[in-house]
Amino acid sequence: MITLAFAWRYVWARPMAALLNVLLLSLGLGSITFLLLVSHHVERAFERDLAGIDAVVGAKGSPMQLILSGVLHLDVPPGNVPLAAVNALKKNPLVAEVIPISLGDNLQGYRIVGTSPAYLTHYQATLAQGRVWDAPMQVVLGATVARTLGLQLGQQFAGSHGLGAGGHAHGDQAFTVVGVLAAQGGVIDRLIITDTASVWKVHESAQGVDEEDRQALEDDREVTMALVRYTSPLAAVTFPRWVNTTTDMQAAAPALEVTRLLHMLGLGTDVLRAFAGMLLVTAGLSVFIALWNAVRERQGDLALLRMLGAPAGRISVLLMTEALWLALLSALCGLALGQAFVLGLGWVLGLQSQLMATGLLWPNTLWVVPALAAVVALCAAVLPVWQAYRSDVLQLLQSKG
Amino acid sequence: MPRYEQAYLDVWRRATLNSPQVRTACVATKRSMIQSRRLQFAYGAGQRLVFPDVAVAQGSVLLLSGPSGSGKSTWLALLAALVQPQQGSLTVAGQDLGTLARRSADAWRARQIGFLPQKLHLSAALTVQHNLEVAFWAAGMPVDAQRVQQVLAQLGVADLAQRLPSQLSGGQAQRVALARAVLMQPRLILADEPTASLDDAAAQDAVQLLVQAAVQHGATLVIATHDARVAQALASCMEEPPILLHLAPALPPKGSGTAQGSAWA
Repeated sequence: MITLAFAWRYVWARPMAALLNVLLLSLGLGSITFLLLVSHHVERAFERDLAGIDAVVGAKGSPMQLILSGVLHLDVPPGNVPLAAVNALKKNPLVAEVIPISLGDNLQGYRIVGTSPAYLTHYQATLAQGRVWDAPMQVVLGATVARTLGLQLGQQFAGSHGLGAGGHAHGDQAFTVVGVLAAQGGVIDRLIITDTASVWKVHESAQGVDEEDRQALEDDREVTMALVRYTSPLAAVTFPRWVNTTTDMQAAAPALEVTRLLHMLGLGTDVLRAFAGMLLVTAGLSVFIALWNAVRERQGDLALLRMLGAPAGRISVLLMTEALWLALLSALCGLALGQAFVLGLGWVLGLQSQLMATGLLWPNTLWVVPALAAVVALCAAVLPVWQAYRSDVLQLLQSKG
Repeated sequence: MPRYEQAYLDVWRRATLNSPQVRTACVATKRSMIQSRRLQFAYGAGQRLVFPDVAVAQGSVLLLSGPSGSGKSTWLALLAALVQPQQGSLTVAGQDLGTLARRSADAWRARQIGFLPQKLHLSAALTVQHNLEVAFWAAGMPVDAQRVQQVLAQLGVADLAQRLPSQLSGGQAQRVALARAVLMQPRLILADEPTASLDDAAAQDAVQLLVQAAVQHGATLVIATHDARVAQALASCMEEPPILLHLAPALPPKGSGTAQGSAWA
């Protein structure tokens, strides 16, 4: 305890050097905190939204696009597939569940998703208000949608065509809000969910001119894609191949695609990580120089401590403790900086509603930050400590002779 | 007789002309504090330092002098158990320093030796109070704040406890350093050139304080100095004359080991 107190006093005897070192170390540690938090947010979001979905079946094209559009709702879908083909999937013994997804419209940027109530069950969504739809054109709002758009139960609205805000409005077909979901922190929070039939209704009545057209449209009804759950893990080997070879659709495995995606993102984070590492090394050098100078300036003081009976080991511990004080302060500042960066970025990009959960997170990987701080500080302290360890007490005895 | 000793003796005779008993030492009646026999030390293959035998009683004052290279620092280092005797024996405060393990030497030094360095070495980072408290830390003991206050009060600097060394005058700093030297109630106080860079009046004060503090704590005082004013100052505040130890320059590496310098009480 006394060592801590004296180390603290020695550190702040040179306040400018101490502040500079804390600042430098904090910047490095802050960048690392930021990287760790962002990748944690992204991975958590993916894990949460992909849970329980073994495959996504949709139009041929990029499998990653299929996952991004249909599960994470970040991209546009590659195309539509016939409803009949999707229904045929249900007959495959490897398939336990098929949830259709129909995309096409939005309300102020929030996607209107046509699906079956199984979608809600799959994400274990609970209703905060109202009920689930029992007829087309009734919708259940995700928590974020309800909050930001301020829609109430019973209110009506018209969707716009397309997946981004600003498409032409389907003014003639109004949706009615019948339920609001409880916030879940997942993709479902920012969706407007309705029956698959609603999407057909909106588009058919918009395009069909007479009864004959309408009938024709009904025959080749389409959905955008289907989420599939297997009966057995073994299906992962055979089902996608079966879909890809025997149908005009493709099957994409979310787990594979997301691994691929994270790997690609990894190239970017590697650059950032290297940058943060460089910052840390610079900070470590600065701490080293500060400690080295401190030891040189204090050579006499340190020798006097030896003269007062402090073993060389105790002096080393004192200097190590000084370095660790810097590390502790920097770790705290760095973590605060990193969290602030993430919150700030989320706020600026409006990502809270997409990938990032709001609030402070402390994933286990974040323990790396204080550990790194300690390692950098201790590495920087090694040489100065050694220098102090072997410092000559005899130099105190000035009367040379 | 070397010139240094002659100078000391002259100073001493002049200063103590009126007390005829000053030359009569009474070493034998007191407990021995420092006892050395045929003490030798060499740094590597360099010059071999051969020290005269000394016997210093508890509570006495020893003046150590000698030109550069005569081994004053080494002798102090030997007394403080910073280095170990290579030949001969050295007993300080009842401890044979030849057999003291390096590990226990630090703890022994913390307890037995008070040290007043020439450059004081008060840590600029710490207040006066913390400069004293750090001695407890160095000794591996719990801080005794009361003792710190007591010693500062004894030296008349209790009101400076919260100041930084940079806010002290030279005399105040000297007192604080002395307070640190006597803090652990050492039995031997080593003062290294305590009057260097002080004017005459301050030098006189410094020596008097030093003697006072040593007497108060029953400690033996060793003063390494070139400064003739120290002997003068001692004469004015002590009844007994100090023991003079003058070291002569070291012999070449292959020296025969004849005793050099001289010591007498």
